[in-house]
Amino acid sequence: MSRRLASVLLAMLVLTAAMGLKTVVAKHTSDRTLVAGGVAPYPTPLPDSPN
Amino acid sequence: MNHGGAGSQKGKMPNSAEYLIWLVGTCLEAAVVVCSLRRKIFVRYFFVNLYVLVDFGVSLGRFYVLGHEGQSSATYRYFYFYSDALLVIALFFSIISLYAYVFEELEIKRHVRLGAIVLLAGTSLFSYAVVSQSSSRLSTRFALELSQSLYFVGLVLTYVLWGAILKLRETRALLVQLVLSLGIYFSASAAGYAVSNLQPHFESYVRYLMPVMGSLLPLSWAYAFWRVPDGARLAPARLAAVPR
Repeated sequence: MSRRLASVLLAMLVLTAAMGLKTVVAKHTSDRTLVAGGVAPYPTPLPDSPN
Repeated sequence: MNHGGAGSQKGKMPNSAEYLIWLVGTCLEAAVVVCSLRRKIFVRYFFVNLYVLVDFGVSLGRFYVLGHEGQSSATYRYFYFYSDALLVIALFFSIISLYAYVFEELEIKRHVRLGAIVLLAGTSLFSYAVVSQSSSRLSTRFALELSQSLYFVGLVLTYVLWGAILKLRETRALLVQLVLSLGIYFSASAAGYAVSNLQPHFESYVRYLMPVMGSLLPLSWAYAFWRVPDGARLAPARLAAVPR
Protein backbone atom coordinates (compact mmCIF):
# COMPACT_ATOMS: atom_id res chain seq x y z
CA MET A 1 0.00 0.00 0.00
CA SER A 2 1.39 3.37 -0.98
CA ARG A 3 2.19 5.96 1.67
CA ARG A 4 -0.33 8.32 0.10
CA LEU A 5 -3.13 5.78 0.41
CA ALA A 6 -2.06 4.99 3.98
CA SER A 7 -2.26 8.65 5.01
CA VAL A 8 -5.77 8.97 3.50
CA LEU A 9 -6.86 5.77 5.26
CA LEU A 10 -5.41 6.96 8.57
CA ALA A 11 -7.23 10.29 8.19
CA MET A 12 -10.51 8.43 7.61
CA LEU A 13 -9.89 6.25 10.67
CA VAL A 14 -9.21 9.31 12.83
CA LEU A 15 -12.39 10.96 11.52
CA THR A 16 -14.46 7.86 12.29
CA ALA A 17 -13.01 7.56 15.79
CA ALA A 18 -13.56 11.27 16.48
CA MET A 19 -17.18 11.23 15.35
CA GLY A 20 -17.81 8.07 17.38
CA LEU A 21 -16.28 9.65 20.48
CA LYS A 22 -18.30 12.81 19.91
CA THR A 23 -21.51 10.76 19.75
CA VAL A 24 -20.65 8.92 22.98
CA VAL A 25 -19.57 12.02 24.94
CA ALA A 26 -22.47 14.19 23.75
CA LYS A 27 -25.10 11.45 24.11
CA HIS A 28 -26.81 13.04 27.09
CA THR A 29 -26.49 16.49 25.72
CA SER A 30 -26.92 19.74 27.61
CA ASP A 31 -26.87 23.31 26.32
CA ARG A 32 -23.10 23.54 26.76
CA THR A 33 -20.72 22.89 23.87
CA LEU A 34 -17.00 22.12 23.99
CA VAL A 35 -14.77 25.04 23.11
CA ALA A 36 -11.23 25.09 21.77
CA GLY A 37 -9.38 26.90 24.49
CA GLY A 38 -10.24 30.43 25.31
CA VAL A 39 -10.72 31.62 28.83
CA ALA A 40 -13.73 33.87 28.30
CA PRO A 41 -16.96 33.11 30.18
CA TYR A 42 -19.36 30.84 28.35
CA PRO A 43 -22.38 32.65 26.88
CA THR A 44 -25.99 31.62 27.16
CA PRO A 45 -26.43 29.03 24.36
CA LEU A 46 -28.25 29.86 21.14
CA PRO A 47 -32.01 29.21 21.43
CA ASP A 48 -32.03 26.51 18.73
CA SER A 49 -28.49 25.26 19.19
CA PRO A 50 -27.95 21.86 17.51
CA ASN A 51 -26.07 20.62 20.58
CA MET B 1 -23.37 39.46 39.23
CA ASN B 2 -25.21 42.34 37.72
CA HIS B 3 -23.35 45.61 37.64
CA GLY B 4 -26.03 48.16 38.34
CA GLY B 5 -26.98 50.95 35.94
CA ALA B 6 -25.63 50.18 32.49
CA GLY B 7 -24.92 46.62 33.65
CA SER B 8 -28.58 45.93 34.18
CA GLN B 9 -29.29 46.98 30.58
CA LYS B 10 -26.61 44.59 29.34
CA GLY B 11 -28.10 41.72 31.34
CA LYS B 12 -25.88 39.11 32.97
CA MET B 13 -22.19 39.90 33.46
CA PRO B 14 -19.38 37.56 34.65
CA ASN B 15 -18.52 37.51 38.34
CA SER B 16 -15.13 38.52 39.81
CA ALA B 17 -13.72 34.96 39.74
CA GLU B 18 -14.55 34.60 36.04
CA TYR B 19 -12.93 37.95 35.28
CA LEU B 20 -9.82 36.93 37.26
CA ILE B 21 -9.47 33.58 35.42
CA TRP B 22 -9.98 35.41 32.13
CA LEU B 23 -7.30 38.01 32.96
CA VAL B 24 -4.76 35.39 34.12
CA GLY B 25 -5.44 33.20 31.05
CA THR B 26 -5.02 36.10 28.64
CA CYS B 27 -1.73 37.12 30.30
CA LEU B 28 -0.49 33.52 30.04
CA GLU B 29 -1.37 33.44 26.32
CA ALA B 30 0.76 36.56 25.83
CA ALA B 31 3.52 34.93 27.92
CA VAL B 32 3.70 31.93 25.53
CA VAL B 33 4.46 34.20 22.57
CA VAL B 34 6.90 36.35 24.59
CA CYS B 35 8.79 33.24 25.81
CA SER B 36 9.04 31.74 22.32
CA LEU B 37 10.22 35.06 20.88
CA ARG B 38 12.77 35.41 23.68
CA ARG B 39 14.08 31.89 23.02
CA LYS B 40 14.05 32.55 19.24
CA ILE B 41 11.81 29.52 18.50
CA PHE B 42 8.77 31.49 17.35
CA VAL B 43 9.23 30.50 13.70
CA ARG B 44 10.07 26.86 14.48
CA TYR B 45 6.81 26.45 16.43
CA PHE B 46 4.95 28.94 14.26
CA PHE B 47 1.54 27.23 14.20
CA VAL B 48 1.57 26.65 17.98
CA ASN B 49 2.31 30.36 18.44
CA LEU B 50 -0.28 31.28 15.81
CA TYR B 51 -2.96 29.39 17.78
CA VAL B 52 -1.95 31.19 20.97
CA LEU B 53 -1.92 34.56 19.16
CA VAL B 54 -5.41 33.89 17.72
CA ASP B 55 -6.53 32.86 21.22
CA PHE B 56 -5.12 36.11 22.64
CA GLY B 57 -6.85 38.21 19.95
CA VAL B 58 -10.12 36.33 20.48
CA SER B 59 -9.89 36.94 24.25
CA LEU B 60 -9.51 40.68 23.69
CA GLY B 61 -12.34 40.68 21.13
CA ARG B 62 -14.66 38.78 23.48
CA PHE B 63 -13.79 41.17 26.31
CA TYR B 64 -14.72 44.13 24.12
CA VAL B 65 -18.00 42.58 22.93
CA LEU B 66 -18.96 41.37 26.41
CA GLY B 67 -18.20 44.79 27.91
CA HIS B 68 -20.49 46.47 25.39
CA GLU B 69 -23.26 43.89 24.99
CA GLY B 70 -23.28 41.63 28.08
CA GLN B 71 -22.85 37.87 28.51
CA SER B 72 -26.41 36.93 27.53
CA SER B 73 -26.56 39.16 24.45
CA ALA B 74 -26.96 37.66 20.97
CA THR B 75 -23.88 39.58 19.78
CA TYR B 76 -21.65 37.99 22.42
CA ARG B 77 -23.08 34.51 21.73
CA TYR B 78 -22.52 34.80 17.98
CA PHE B 79 -19.06 36.31 18.42
CA TYR B 80 -18.16 33.56 20.91
CA PHE B 81 -19.22 30.65 18.69
CA TYR B 82 -17.82 32.06 15.44
CA SER B 83 -14.49 32.94 17.09
CA ASP B 84 -14.44 29.44 18.61
CA ALA B 85 -14.65 27.95 15.09
CA LEU B 86 -11.63 30.10 14.16
CA LEU B 87 -9.79 28.95 17.30
CA VAL B 88 -10.42 25.26 16.72
CA ILE B 89 -9.15 25.52 13.11
CA ALA B 90 -5.97 27.22 14.41
CA LEU B 91 -5.65 24.46 17.04
CA PHE B 92 -6.05 21.80 14.32
CA PHE B 93 -3.18 23.32 12.32
CA SER B 94 -0.99 23.53 15.43
CA ILE B 95 -1.54 19.79 16.07
CA ILE B 96 -0.72 19.01 12.43
CA SER B 97 2.49 21.06 12.76
CA LEU B 98 3.43 18.93 15.81
CA TYR B 99 2.89 15.83 13.63
CA ALA B 100 5.28 17.32 11.07
CA TYR B 101 7.95 17.78 13.79
CA VAL B 102 7.53 14.27 15.21
CA PHE B 103 7.74 12.66 11.75
CA GLU B 104 10.32 15.05 10.28
CA GLU B 105 13.07 12.41 10.35
CA LEU B 106 10.87 9.99 8.35
CA GLU B 107 10.48 12.65 5.63
CA ILE B 108 6.73 12.18 5.25
CA LYS B 109 5.82 15.86 5.49
CA ARG B 110 3.88 15.69 2.20
CA HIS B 111 1.79 12.78 3.44
CA VAL B 112 1.06 14.48 6.76
CA ARG B 113 -0.16 17.49 4.77
CA LEU B 114 -2.34 15.27 2.57
CA GLY B 115 -3.82 13.53 5.63
CA ALA B 116 -4.57 16.92 7.23
CA ILE B 117 -6.37 18.18 4.10
CA VAL B 118 -8.43 14.97 3.85
CA LEU B 119 -9.29 15.18 7.54
CA LEU B 120 -10.31 18.84 7.39
CA ALA B 121 -12.37 18.30 4.23
CA GLY B 122 -13.98 15.16 5.70
CA THR B 123 -14.86 16.95 8.95
CA SER B 124 -16.34 19.91 7.03
CA LEU B 125 -18.43 17.59 4.84
CA PHE B 126 -19.61 15.62 7.87
CA SER B 127 -20.58 18.84 9.69
CA TYR B 128 -22.40 20.14 6.63
CA ALA B 129 -24.26 16.84 6.27
CA VAL B 130 -25.41 17.11 9.91
CA VAL B 131 -26.75 20.68 9.58
CA SER B 132 -27.86 20.66 5.92
CA GLN B 133 -31.47 19.85 6.86
CA SER B 134 -31.74 23.08 8.89
CA SER B 135 -33.68 25.80 7.16
CA SER B 136 -32.54 28.65 9.40
CA ARG B 137 -29.16 29.87 10.68
CA LEU B 138 -27.30 27.41 8.49
CA SER B 139 -23.96 29.22 8.76
CA THR B 140 -24.20 29.49 12.57
CA ARG B 141 -25.14 25.85 12.96
CA PHE B 142 -22.36 24.87 10.56
CA ALA B 143 -19.76 26.91 12.50
CA LEU B 144 -20.92 25.33 15.77
CA GLU B 145 -20.99 21.79 14.36
CA LEU B 146 -17.60 22.21 12.66
CA SER B 147 -15.95 23.45 15.85
CA GLN B 148 -17.44 20.55 17.85
CA SER B 149 -16.38 17.94 15.28
CA LEU B 150 -12.89 19.41 14.83
CA TYR B 151 -12.48 19.48 18.61
CA PHE B 152 -12.96 15.70 18.79
CA VAL B 153 -10.74 15.21 15.73
CA GLY B 154 -8.06 17.19 17.58
CA LEU B 155 -8.53 15.03 20.66
CA VAL B 156 -8.09 11.78 18.70
CA LEU B 157 -5.16 13.24 16.74
CA THR B 158 -3.41 14.15 20.00
CA TYR B 159 -3.79 10.61 21.36
CA VAL B 160 -2.51 9.13 18.09
CA LEU B 161 0.43 11.55 18.20
CA TRP B 162 1.22 10.53 21.78
CA GLY B 163 1.16 6.89 20.64
CA ALA B 164 3.57 7.74 17.83
CA ILE B 165 5.87 9.55 20.29
CA LEU B 166 6.01 6.43 22.48
CA LYS B 167 6.46 4.10 19.52
CA LEU B 168 9.21 6.18 17.90
CA ARG B 169 10.88 6.75 21.29
CA GLU B 170 10.75 10.49 20.67
CA THR B 171 13.07 12.16 23.16
CA ARG B 172 12.86 15.86 22.32
CA ALA B 173 11.72 17.22 25.69
CA LEU B 174 10.08 20.39 24.36
CA LEU B 175 8.02 18.50 21.78
CA VAL B 176 6.98 15.87 24.35
CA GLN B 177 5.87 18.55 26.80
CA LEU B 178 3.86 20.44 24.16
CA VAL B 179 2.01 17.27 23.07
CA LEU B 180 1.48 16.01 26.62
CA SER B 181 0.01 19.35 27.74
CA LEU B 182 -2.35 19.27 24.79
CA GLY B 183 -3.41 15.70 25.62
CA ILE B 184 -4.14 16.58 29.26
CA TYR B 185 -6.04 19.68 28.21
CA PHE B 186 -8.22 17.79 25.71
CA SER B 187 -8.87 14.92 28.13
CA ALA B 188 -9.80 17.18 31.06
CA SER B 189 -12.08 19.36 28.91
CA ALA B 190 -13.86 16.35 27.37
CA ALA B 191 -14.23 14.76 30.83
CA GLY B 192 -15.65 18.02 32.25
CA TYR B 193 -18.05 18.25 29.32
CA ALA B 194 -19.21 14.65 29.77
CA VAL B 195 -19.69 15.15 33.53
CA SER B 196 -21.72 18.34 32.97
CA ASN B 197 -23.93 16.43 30.51
CA LEU B 198 -24.42 13.43 32.82
CA GLN B 199 -24.74 15.38 36.08
CA PRO B 200 -26.28 18.80 35.35
CA HIS B 201 -25.82 19.91 38.98
CA PHE B 202 -22.03 19.95 38.38
CA GLU B 203 -22.60 22.67 35.79
CA SER B 204 -21.69 25.41 38.28
CA TYR B 205 -18.22 23.80 38.77
CA VAL B 206 -17.70 23.06 35.07
CA ARG B 207 -18.39 26.72 34.39
CA TYR B 208 -15.09 27.49 36.16
CA LEU B 209 -13.25 24.30 35.16
CA MET B 210 -13.28 25.00 31.41
CA PRO B 211 -11.65 28.47 31.60
CA VAL B 212 -9.16 27.15 34.21
CA MET B 213 -8.17 24.34 31.81
CA GLY B 214 -7.96 26.95 29.06
CA SER B 215 -5.47 28.86 31.27
CA LEU B 216 -3.39 25.80 32.21
CA LEU B 217 -2.61 24.99 28.56
CA PRO B 218 -0.82 28.33 27.87
CA LEU B 219 0.81 28.08 31.34
CA SER B 220 2.29 24.72 30.44
CA TRP B 221 3.38 25.87 26.99
CA ALA B 222 4.88 29.10 28.38
CA TYR B 223 6.82 27.04 30.95
CA ALA B 224 8.01 24.68 28.19
CA PHE B 225 9.20 27.55 25.96
CA TRP B 226 10.78 29.34 28.91
CA ARG B 227 12.53 26.50 30.76
CA VAL B 228 13.02 23.55 28.37
CA PRO B 229 15.92 24.07 25.93
CA ASP B 230 15.05 23.32 22.28
CA GLY B 231 17.75 20.65 22.02
CA ALA B 232 17.03 18.98 25.40
CA ARG B 233 16.45 15.21 25.27
CA LEU B 234 14.61 12.89 27.65
CA ALA B 235 15.91 9.49 28.64
CA PRO B 236 13.70 6.98 26.73
CA ALA B 237 13.06 5.01 29.95
CA ARG B 238 11.21 8.02 31.33
CA LEU B 239 8.69 7.87 28.48
CA ALA B 240 7.64 4.24 28.60
CA ALA B 241 8.66 1.00 30.21
CA VAL B 242 9.11 -1.55 27.41
CA PRO B 243 8.79 -5.21 28.48
CA ARG B 244 11.70 -7.45 27.46
